[in-house]
Amino acid sequence: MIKKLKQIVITGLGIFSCICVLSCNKNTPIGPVSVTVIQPMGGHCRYSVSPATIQTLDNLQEMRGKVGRVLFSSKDLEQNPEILKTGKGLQPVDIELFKSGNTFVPANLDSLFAASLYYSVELGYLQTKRLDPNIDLAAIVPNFSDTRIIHRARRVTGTNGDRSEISDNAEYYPLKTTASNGVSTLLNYFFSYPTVNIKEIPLGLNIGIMNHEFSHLIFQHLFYEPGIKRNMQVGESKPTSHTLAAVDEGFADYFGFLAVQDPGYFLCSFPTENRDLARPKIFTPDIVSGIESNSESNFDSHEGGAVWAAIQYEIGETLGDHQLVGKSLLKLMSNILVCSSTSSNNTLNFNFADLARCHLAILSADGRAGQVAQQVYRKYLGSYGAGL
Amino acid sequence: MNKIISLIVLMQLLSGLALARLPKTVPLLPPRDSGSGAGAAFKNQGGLLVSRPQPHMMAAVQLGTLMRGDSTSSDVLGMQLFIGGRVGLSIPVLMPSFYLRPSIGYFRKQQSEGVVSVVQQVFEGGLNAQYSVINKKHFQWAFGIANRFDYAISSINIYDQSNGGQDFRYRVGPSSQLLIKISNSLNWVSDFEFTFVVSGPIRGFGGLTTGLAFDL
Repeated sequence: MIKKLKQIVITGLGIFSCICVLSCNKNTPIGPVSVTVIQPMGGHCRYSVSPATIQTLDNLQEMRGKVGRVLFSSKDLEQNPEILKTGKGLQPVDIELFKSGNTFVPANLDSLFAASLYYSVELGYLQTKRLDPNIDLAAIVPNFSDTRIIHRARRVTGTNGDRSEISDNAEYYPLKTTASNGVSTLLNYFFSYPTVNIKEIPLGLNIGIMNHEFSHLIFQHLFYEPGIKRNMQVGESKPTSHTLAAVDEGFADYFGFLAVQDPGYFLCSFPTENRDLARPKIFTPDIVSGIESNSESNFDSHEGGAVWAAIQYEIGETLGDHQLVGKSLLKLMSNILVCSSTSSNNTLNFNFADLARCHLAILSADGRAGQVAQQVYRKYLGSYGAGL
Repeated sequence: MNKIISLIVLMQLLSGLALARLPKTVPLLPPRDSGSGAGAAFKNQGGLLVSRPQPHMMAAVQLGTLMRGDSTSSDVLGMQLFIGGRVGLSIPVLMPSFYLRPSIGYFRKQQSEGVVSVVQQVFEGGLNAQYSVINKKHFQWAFGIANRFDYAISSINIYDQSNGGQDFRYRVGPSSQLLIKISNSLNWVSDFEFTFVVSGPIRGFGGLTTGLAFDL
């Protein structure tokens, strides 16, 4: 009798375990899914913890889909460059999701970062397509779904005596690799570095910042890659390289704003930076001097970029149509290669005045937009505005 | 799926081992002979029952950690630590060395970066089925199976905004308990377990709690 009871108890536990295995298994959803992330909710640095629809996921548990995949490596990517070249050593973030109704809720900080990073990149992709339906980055960027978004990227830079790990930063990192058969591939990496000193919102969770980085990918594939294919040269009679670096940052600041509709989104992570698009800025003699100098030590691409972005913001505010400005800037990215003011004889040669002319040519299709932009450019371009 | 099957096989193996260790004949307390002290049958046990404590019910209060396997960021040995505790009972059933140990527990973990925090809480109900392989007067060491039912909730917070979700999960796996008698009715007790979530993606959990058990 006792032996029988004993067997019943043990068998019962086994059967119960089997039932749970079979009945509690959850299917990982594919396609549009609702996931809770931290989103801007209007106003400056105001956020809600609310459901967002992620539309392009193929695998929720691995945060992998049409726009890329979120990955992680505990190794120093600077000391192990093979990891970035081959992808070996990168693994999906260990994600745990709970439920609230039909919404998946990240159960821990890593899962929240992973969901937010994928959502940010997807937002950038969809925003670009919405601004200009002809620009489908999934068709333009080779292997777009292989975009690698690295959570808590570890890179220790510097030499022995002055080594430090990059933190409190984010980056778009295009990596060209060449296979043994000589075929080159551009791998698109986004790095979200660890948070160390930031007391406000971490960069990986700041959708505006991640869209700033996504804009660099757009510029890479609408400007740099087509330019390289055409074997375009960079002239030296104008500060073309510095202007390119600065306008890249300016585009990025503006597209970050478009994603979150908060011109001060940068300050939500770095409260003391002069990166509020709503604060008018001008190309001061100091900034112009930095752009035109041959030295890298006097030049900060973010400074000139912040002025360019503030100009675009003012144009959009005056027109009451930031979508129009965004669309015109996407056009400008590719038109820099062909505009008469920026390019001649397969050589790029321009400064910010030439870029403004190229932009005005695009906006002139809408009479009022062209006039407004011309006035704003004259007001804030400083010495570059003369003769515009 | 292979992992799930392996897990079930492991569980059954452990159950089988526990079963195999059970005495083939169940010792019964002999009727006492008032005239000659301990009964004849008692004497014939060769002191076995003298060295074994009489099985009785105990209540335990323990503090410790629930460790969640995480391959991305860990506090120790690939695990994230939740801090909390359990209260439970130890009930001898069927025979002197076999125990059922129901318990309830609560564990918590908070992670923060900048103004963002995520708080996870686990409310746990459990039932351990254990067989005592070493059963001395002042010392017991038991092995068995842990079954845990979790109601887990997470809450994401930024400034004054908050939102969260929840999950029910069932964990199962091997467990062990070490008990040291420290007085007539008080015991030092430590529990170890390694359980797997078998619903959804398989994830390992470790449990390490220690505290006091009182004879009831």
